[in-house]
Amino acid sequence: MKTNPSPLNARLPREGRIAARLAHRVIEGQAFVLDPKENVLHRLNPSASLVWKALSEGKTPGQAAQSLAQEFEVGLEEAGRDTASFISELRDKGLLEDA
Amino acid sequence: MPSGAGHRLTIATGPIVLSMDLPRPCRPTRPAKAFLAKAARRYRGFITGAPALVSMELEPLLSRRLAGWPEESKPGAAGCGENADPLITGSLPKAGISARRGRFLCSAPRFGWELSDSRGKGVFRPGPYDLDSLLRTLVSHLAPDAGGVLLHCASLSFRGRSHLFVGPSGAGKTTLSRKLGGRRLEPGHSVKVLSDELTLLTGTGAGSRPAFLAHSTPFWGEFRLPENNGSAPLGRVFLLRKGPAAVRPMKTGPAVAELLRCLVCFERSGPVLGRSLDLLLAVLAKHPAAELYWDGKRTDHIVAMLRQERRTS
Repeated sequence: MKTNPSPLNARLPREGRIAARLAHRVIEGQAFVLDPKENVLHRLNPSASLVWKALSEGKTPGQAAQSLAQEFEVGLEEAGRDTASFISELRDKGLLEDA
Repeated sequence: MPSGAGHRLTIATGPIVLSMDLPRPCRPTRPAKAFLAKAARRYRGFITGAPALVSMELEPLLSRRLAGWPEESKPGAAGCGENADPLITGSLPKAGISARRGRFLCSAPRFGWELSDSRGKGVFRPGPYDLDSLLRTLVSHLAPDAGGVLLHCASLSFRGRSHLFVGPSGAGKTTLSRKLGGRRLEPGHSVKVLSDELTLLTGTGAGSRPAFLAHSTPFWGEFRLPENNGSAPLGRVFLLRKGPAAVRPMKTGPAVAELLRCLVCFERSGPVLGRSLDLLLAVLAKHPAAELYWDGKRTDHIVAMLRQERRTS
């Protein structure tokens, strides 16, 4: 998958894919992520849900950050930082794996 | 050989039919016969002659321990409540099902079994109450393939419609079932308890006109009727709350999160969990959930709602 060669993408984490073991749906703008390995149901907040939805649709972290900036009317820098932080958290929890 | 007698016990809950046999050519001993006779009484109302989805052999029936197997579920008894814990609580025992080349393996602290669907045979190492745990686990495992889910909820039917009362232990499912079960709300029409603990919910006709059925299961909590096997089309879905009488509509998101917490599913596969999630979403799309507050005593508002539901459905 191609990414935009923008400065933002350079600071964003590498692409990943949602772990195959998960069941996840976005309902009324909120992402529900079932992790059977950890017996946990994650309910994401609206901004995290937007990023999750973008990633689940195969978009890059950069594209997810752009969606976030557009939807929540924040600067691209701030959206990029939030996206990077969220993706890092997803990786820590094993919800996102290397593509 | 008749089901529920002799060597075989065949139990149906909704479309899920399980059959258990004594190992052949083993002749049943007295403890084994006593066990099967007790099991047949324990699951009466659910005994069927229908062909089984899964058949298994009960291997260690010679154990004298089985002769002492109790017929009734007792509150707080080992294996009765614990293994019914839903997946999404964090309190699930280290139990699980895995499938490898057509063989199902299940392990839990007090019981374990191995079942091959290709050969239709299994091994069951039971302790007291563990047949119930095994059956519950099997039903929860087979439910997604039967287009259903096993939910930790009471279900009451009135005038041909079933209503779900969802909540964890202590939410009042059994109390409500005891208060309303058998109560005649209208001439010739009583409330029937499909289950006070675990309900099998199935869906058919996916798409624009889905239909959902609530089925009795043989896994009771404290409440029990002599013959309580039945099914009825779904009416309302209530999330039980403690508090002064009130009914408040719920949004789909919070409602599905609560239903997921009451989902009995030992499956560890994303696609299967996804199917269960989709079924719950389809249920809520057609039957929006409501929070049902009650004080554990007065049921006037619930009775009024059941009567009203009959008029509006």
